[in-house]
Amino acid sequence: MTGFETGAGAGVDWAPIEEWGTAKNAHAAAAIPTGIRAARETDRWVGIVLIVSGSGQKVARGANILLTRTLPEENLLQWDTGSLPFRGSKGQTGIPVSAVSYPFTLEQPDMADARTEIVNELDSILRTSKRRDFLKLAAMGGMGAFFPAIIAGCNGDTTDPTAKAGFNFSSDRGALNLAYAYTQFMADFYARVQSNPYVGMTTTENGLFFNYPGGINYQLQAQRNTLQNLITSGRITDAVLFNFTSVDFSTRSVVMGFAQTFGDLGVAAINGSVSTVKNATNLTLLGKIVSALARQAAAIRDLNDQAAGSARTSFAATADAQGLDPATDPKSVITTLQPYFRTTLSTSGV
Amino acid sequence: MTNKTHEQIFDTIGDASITDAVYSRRNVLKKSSLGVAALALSGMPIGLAVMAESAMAQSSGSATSALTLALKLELLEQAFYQAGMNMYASSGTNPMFSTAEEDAVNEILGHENAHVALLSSVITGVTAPTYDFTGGSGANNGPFDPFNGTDTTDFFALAQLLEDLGVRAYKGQAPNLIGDTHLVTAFQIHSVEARHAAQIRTLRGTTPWVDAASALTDYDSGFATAQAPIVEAVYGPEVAGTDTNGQPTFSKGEDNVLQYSSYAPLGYNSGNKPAFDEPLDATNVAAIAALFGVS
Repeated sequence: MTGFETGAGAGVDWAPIEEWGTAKNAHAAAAIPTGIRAARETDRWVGIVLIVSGSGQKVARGANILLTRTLPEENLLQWDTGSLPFRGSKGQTGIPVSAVSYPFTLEQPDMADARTEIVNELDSILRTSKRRDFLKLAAMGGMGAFFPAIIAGCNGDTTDPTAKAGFNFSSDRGALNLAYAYTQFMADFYARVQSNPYVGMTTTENGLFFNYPGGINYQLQAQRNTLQNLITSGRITDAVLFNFTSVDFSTRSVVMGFAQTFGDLGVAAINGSVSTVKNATNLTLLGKIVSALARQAAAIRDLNDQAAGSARTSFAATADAQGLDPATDPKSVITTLQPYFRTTLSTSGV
Repeated sequence: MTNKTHEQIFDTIGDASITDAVYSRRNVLKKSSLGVAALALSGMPIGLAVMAESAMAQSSGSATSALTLALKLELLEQAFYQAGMNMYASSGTNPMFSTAEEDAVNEILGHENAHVALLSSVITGVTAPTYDFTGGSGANNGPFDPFNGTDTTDFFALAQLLEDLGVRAYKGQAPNLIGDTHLVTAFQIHSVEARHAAQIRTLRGTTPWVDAASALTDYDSGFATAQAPIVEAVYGPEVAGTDTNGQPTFSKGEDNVLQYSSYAPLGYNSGNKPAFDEPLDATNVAAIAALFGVS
């Protein structure tokens, strides 16, 4: 573990890869600036650091620090750690904490690429069992006094707040949350494709997936983030957990087959849930998203046609004899999604 | 050390007071977006000024008018693709579709036929007029020449416009179908139209999605100069300028960079235009369709 000052003094460039917004603290936001930094040596990244410098500040009752990561630069990535369990107890005075770090090594000096990798690493740490290690490190770094309940909660406790996501279709929220879960899912999928590209990915495919800003992965991120922003209450977890162990990301046919199947599913899922939406703004947003998803799915299908050397007639082959795309009911959608989610999905109100 | 579980802790984090504080910025932005509908449409092409009516009109129509508009567009597309197949799918003096083009047009025509049949079962009294595929409002002197017998350039250029227009039109009519039994059907057609648009765009060598930069003129790539007003009508209308926060003003066009409560530069990616197809209201859709003889 490396302290912030120590690291900086040791000649490591603690690059401000981004600001994590400000501390979203209901009562003491101004008092607890936070930040995330990556440590960069000449040709590699050697760690990421969460900075909590709440020196001497009194943490008010119920204070929660929700770290919302935003990248002002190019809207490249946005990631909300709103469910991070950092919490100060009543009247607790924070002790000076400069930083804790989670060490890792990344042989990737390029800033743009490294950002993605670092975010993935952070994501992994904070979403999975590694979180416990991270929090233990946090404890060692002094944050334990700051957040004792959290550290206690990490000891052998397997309950995870991201373990469940319920979609209640008695209001618009059900359809919006389902779209939100879906865009989280597919954004995560494409992030994995990007970090572990399959053998033989063509320039066309790479561009379609990852060109900025129009690439499918950026579209999904934008949709995900906008939904997150729109669903102001009753939103499902911002950190839905996935299970891609059955997906061989190194094989083109697997990845492209998955992209097609679940690209189509997203379209069918929104089509199948709009009947539960009553508000015009919400309905229009889902409309804006679903046609973008349909374009993505059609493009994937056409790529698969071309790769197979078959007639390029699949782009809209999802349509039935009446020329209608599927509209799949939410329960069926969730049944199809569940094997790829560690978070337990459930529906009500339909 | 306490014995609190993650679950308990997270329950606490969900407190409304905390949530309100966290998302206060969003509320501020939401308020700031309320005034955008009142903005004047100053950037419209002169010949299309008649279309510059508020998009808010789309929320006041009836389900019947929504489906009627849909049927008119489907009839237009049906006639257009049928004429394309008649002219370019068989050998003769005309250039022929490539295999991929013919496959696409044939598939799309099949869907449009089905859409016409489906909508005609709900809406009666709408028949196909005599179309003007030049975009000349019936005078046959418009900027498109899709059946010129020389090349298929204008055919696919117009196909792209009709498909992208269809996507925008269905999306714009969706609020009129809330609570109507045909809402889901309309969405099922809508996503098929989006698939059509993607394929036509791919065949034209552009992106499957509308991927324009902020300047509306960027939409005109691949179109003749004389066609620009119609192209801009299909993808616009645009309101240029900045608001008091220095952010781009709300646009009803496909170059919209403002999705609800968030501005593009502030980290919510809402400026990602390909991620969000924009609706178009009935008045603007009808005005464009009228250029092609739809009344």
